Amino acid sequence: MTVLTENRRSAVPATRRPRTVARRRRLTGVLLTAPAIAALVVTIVFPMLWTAWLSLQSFGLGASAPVEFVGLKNYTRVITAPEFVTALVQTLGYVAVTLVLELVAGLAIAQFLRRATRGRKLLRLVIAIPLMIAPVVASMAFRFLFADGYGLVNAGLQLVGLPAPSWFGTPWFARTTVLVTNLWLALPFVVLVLLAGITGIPEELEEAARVDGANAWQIFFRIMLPLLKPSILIVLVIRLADAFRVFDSVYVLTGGGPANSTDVMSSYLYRTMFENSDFPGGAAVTVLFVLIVGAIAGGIFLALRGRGAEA
Amino acid sequence: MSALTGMSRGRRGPGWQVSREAGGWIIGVAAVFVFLLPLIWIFTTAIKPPTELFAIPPRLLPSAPTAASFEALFNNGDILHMFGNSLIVGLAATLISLLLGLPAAFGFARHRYRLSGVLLAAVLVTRIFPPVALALPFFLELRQAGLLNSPAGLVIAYIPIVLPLVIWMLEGFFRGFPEEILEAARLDGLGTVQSLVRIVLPLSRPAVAVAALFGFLSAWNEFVIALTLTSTPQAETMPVGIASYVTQFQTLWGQMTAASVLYLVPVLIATLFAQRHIISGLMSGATKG
Repeated sequence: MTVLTENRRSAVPATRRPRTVARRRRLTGVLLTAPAIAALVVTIVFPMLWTAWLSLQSFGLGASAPVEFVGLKNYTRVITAPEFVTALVQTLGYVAVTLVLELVAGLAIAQFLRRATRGRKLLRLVIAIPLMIAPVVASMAFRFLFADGYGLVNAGLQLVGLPAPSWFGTPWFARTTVLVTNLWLALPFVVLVLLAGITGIPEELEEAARVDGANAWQIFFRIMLPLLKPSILIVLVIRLADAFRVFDSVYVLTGGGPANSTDVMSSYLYRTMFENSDFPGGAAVTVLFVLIVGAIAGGIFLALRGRGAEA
Repeated sequence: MSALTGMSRGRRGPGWQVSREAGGWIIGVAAVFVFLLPLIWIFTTAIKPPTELFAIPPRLLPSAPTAASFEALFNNGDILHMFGNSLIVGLAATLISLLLGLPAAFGFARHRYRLSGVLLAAVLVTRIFPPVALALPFFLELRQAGLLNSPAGLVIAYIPIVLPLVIWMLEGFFRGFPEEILEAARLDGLGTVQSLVRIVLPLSRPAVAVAALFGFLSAWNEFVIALTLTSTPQAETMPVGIASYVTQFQTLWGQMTAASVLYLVPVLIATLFAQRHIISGLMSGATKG
């Protein structure tokens, strides 16, 4: 907006003052934003470029360790490691499943909260609580709840006559604990964003559809869902980025086990660096991780923007 | 209490309405209980006597509440270091991010220049960035600088997490700031910095407070960077300390839950006080994604 008016002003050569004013305004903008940009260049851009440079070398942590340029060797070593492929595939699977679960559960809860006539304020507060809770603490709590023997979940299952599995002993049960924990942590954000979207839909629309003889499912799929698209897209993009970085719950709940079945990119990267002390390999994994997340997020952003322009 | 009032109100209506409303309340209360169970479990476990921690079947409430776990926690003493570290690191990272981010957000919102749109987008894109990617470069850099196991090192490492968040939340707010007020300040002869400090900031206190709260929380709750950059109890933050109660041989649930209570209570109090602002602040950030 301001850029437009400035251009129009400078197109008219009548007076000199507006031009210098506009230039001074822009200079002020540069000066106001420069310190923050410099701080982010120093703390993000430089470390990432340095990591990319390190990923092309072989080096050790000791001061006397020889540094040698090895080209893409670290990358070929990492990509051909079965553990890397496992972590990558499991990360993608986790991201996909968790996003679907969050959207379905989030939509259901948001719908319910909208209907709730009494206690709505209290429910909104309750649902917001996990947002503020550290993932580490939430994961600890779920580790306790899912524990063998003294865990509450298994006690509940036995009470109703169901078998009590060893949650952290088998791949799919272990994956389930990670999914449940992250669902709990993410629901506040998903529900609150969707609820804001749903509240913005005029009730007359629903009323009119009902008069026309639409049933609840038709109303939901034909009216609510299309109108909720912007909110759903926000949830998708932000939760996608969050899901890719999942680490705390995996580290606390399963440590990536059993037999790497809950390993994800972040936990694999952490292990490569700080348990196997493979820093050149870690640098290569870091670069690959950033590129993969960037490519997928960028792809989704472009796809959504394209669709947004159509509508 | 609330369930009771719900029932008595329903009694005035026809019979089916009573049961329907009561059923709604029961389901609602049960759902809230299940949803909050992880938190409730932490709070009740913290006051259980050691013998009841691993009771089979598990019991929600202790037979007699005790402060034994808290005593064990404070006798050890590490917890005070960790709490102090979390507090200092969170406050310092938030303060620095506000000092840098406030003018930047204002500049991005009200003083556009040719590259400002691209630069703002670049700042926002860092939201997608996985923090663990910074673990390796920060570990190596801070190791060289002798800043591993120091709060100063953690503060530096948290700038890329807290600063973009602060800019993200405040830029949207400043974009909606009324132009007339800025114009009036300009006519009164106030420079940009003066009008920012004397006019804009006092009027933006709630938005700044929410941005500060979210910035602080993102540092207070951060785990993976703290895990990689600290390894001594004197330098660790609360989440790292809490995770370390899971050892290879046993999990110290009593001390772990007691430490978690200390760690959560400030956050829960802040949530209660800032409740409405938190939800609106979250929305202002969210709707711009």
